[in-house]
Amino acid sequence: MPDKKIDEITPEKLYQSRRAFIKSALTYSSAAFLAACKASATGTTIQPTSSGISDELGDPATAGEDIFGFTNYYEFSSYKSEPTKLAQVFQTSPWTIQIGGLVENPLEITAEDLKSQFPQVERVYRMRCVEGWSMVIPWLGIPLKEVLDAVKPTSTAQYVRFEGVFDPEQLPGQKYSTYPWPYIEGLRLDEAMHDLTLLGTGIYGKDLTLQNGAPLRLVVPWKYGFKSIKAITKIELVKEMPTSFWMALAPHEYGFYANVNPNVPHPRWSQATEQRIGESGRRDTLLFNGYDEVAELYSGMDLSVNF
Amino acid sequence: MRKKPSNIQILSFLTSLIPAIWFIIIYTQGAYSSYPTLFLTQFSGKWAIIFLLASLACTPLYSIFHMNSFLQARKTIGLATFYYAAVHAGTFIILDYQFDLRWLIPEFQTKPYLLLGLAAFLLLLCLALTSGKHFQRKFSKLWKKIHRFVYLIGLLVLLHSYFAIKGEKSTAFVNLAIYLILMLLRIPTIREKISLKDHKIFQNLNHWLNS
Repeated sequence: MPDKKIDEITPEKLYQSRRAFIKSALTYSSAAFLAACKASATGTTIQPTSSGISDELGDPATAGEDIFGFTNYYEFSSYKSEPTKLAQVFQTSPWTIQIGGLVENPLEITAEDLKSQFPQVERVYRMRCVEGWSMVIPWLGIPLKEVLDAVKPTSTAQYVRFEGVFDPEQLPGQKYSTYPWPYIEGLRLDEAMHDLTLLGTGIYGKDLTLQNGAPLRLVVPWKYGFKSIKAITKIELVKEMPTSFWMALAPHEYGFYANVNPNVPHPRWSQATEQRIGESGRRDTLLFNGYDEVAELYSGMDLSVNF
Repeated sequence: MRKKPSNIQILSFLTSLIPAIWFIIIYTQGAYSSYPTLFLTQFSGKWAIIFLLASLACTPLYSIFHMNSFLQARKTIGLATFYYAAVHAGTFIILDYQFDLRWLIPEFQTKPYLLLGLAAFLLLLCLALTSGKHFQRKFSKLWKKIHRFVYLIGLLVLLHSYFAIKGEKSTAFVNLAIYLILMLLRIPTIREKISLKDHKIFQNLNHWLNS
């Protein structure tokens, strides 16, 4: 059986060209690696379209033109095709990330160093937007747990607070807006330490594109997409539950947990069904976006109260 | 024999086609090809509201300029409102939800704004069905009563769009302000104050529009 959590079906040549990936891939099950070899019979290099990549449920990865061309990135625009154009002049190098707060070893590190000092893995995850649409995205990323282990959270740390870039000169959406910039997100520490949680660094085997949150973003596949904050500048371990960007705007619509849940309706969009981008017609939404293994994080909690 | 359409009828009809043509152009250029039903729903909804407000502007414009061609335009614009609203509702119910009641019923149960939109659309349908000249002549009193429902439709639609808009809702407030101004301009004392003196230019323009 391949690892139930993730699917490692990836054309083999990617691994050959990037030694680092072989190392990380081997840490996963050998069955998954065999699947990777099988996929290489059809694929040559990773192609953003008809890649042969699929998630563990067998659904194909969303075409690159959709992943790179259809984004929610309010720092640039509220129109989904605009960030692809507007982000092209966005400077993401040099980029420093501060990791601090309630930790023993605070860290100030460039995105480049972070990527070279921590292992990057490939994970094919479903991404479910709160607006009722979804994609399957082949991510590259650093398990957040690795980074948190390195900075050593103190015993008082309960939550992780993420802060996105604030630069109205470069991000036109931040210029004349009543939105509470910068973008803030948060996770409970155990959610942040969960094996599924990634610091996203790339898609389809390449560095993150500017419109998808370069150079570093969060990827939490069992939560609505807005939790996966883009262009992170600061990661802080804190004691109190952070107030996220969307919570600050509309607390009755967007909760802190924001777990994908077909049984908790949103006043605007369907949470029972979703439009998978590239498909015709809707499909049923799965509890925790199909990542049942996270259910234990919320045992005993009323998910309709803690939505 | 049918009467030849007047200039105002032709002009208002062509104007009502512009968004549809615009949609086809941007859609074929690939905009929003990732999620066509979302795009079509938002686009048609936005234009239904614009035409609704435009149709509500016709009577006050008639009071100001005394050009009865505005009353001719009102009918065409009103029908355009209905057509764009029909595309809007049809995209949501048929294209997006494939008329699957197993999916649709819970959505209408949990989202009051969908009920507001549905109510507005059904009322608009009544207006569209009774918009013919024949009906208007035969049942002129009833026609007047039915068509006063447009004020209620306006309110329902504005509430519907307020709840449907994500994040910043300034567009909804601008639309509400326009609606309120158009309502105020209907109050007799205000209507008399804004009424302009008959002017040669307006008379000539009106004559040409009606020809």
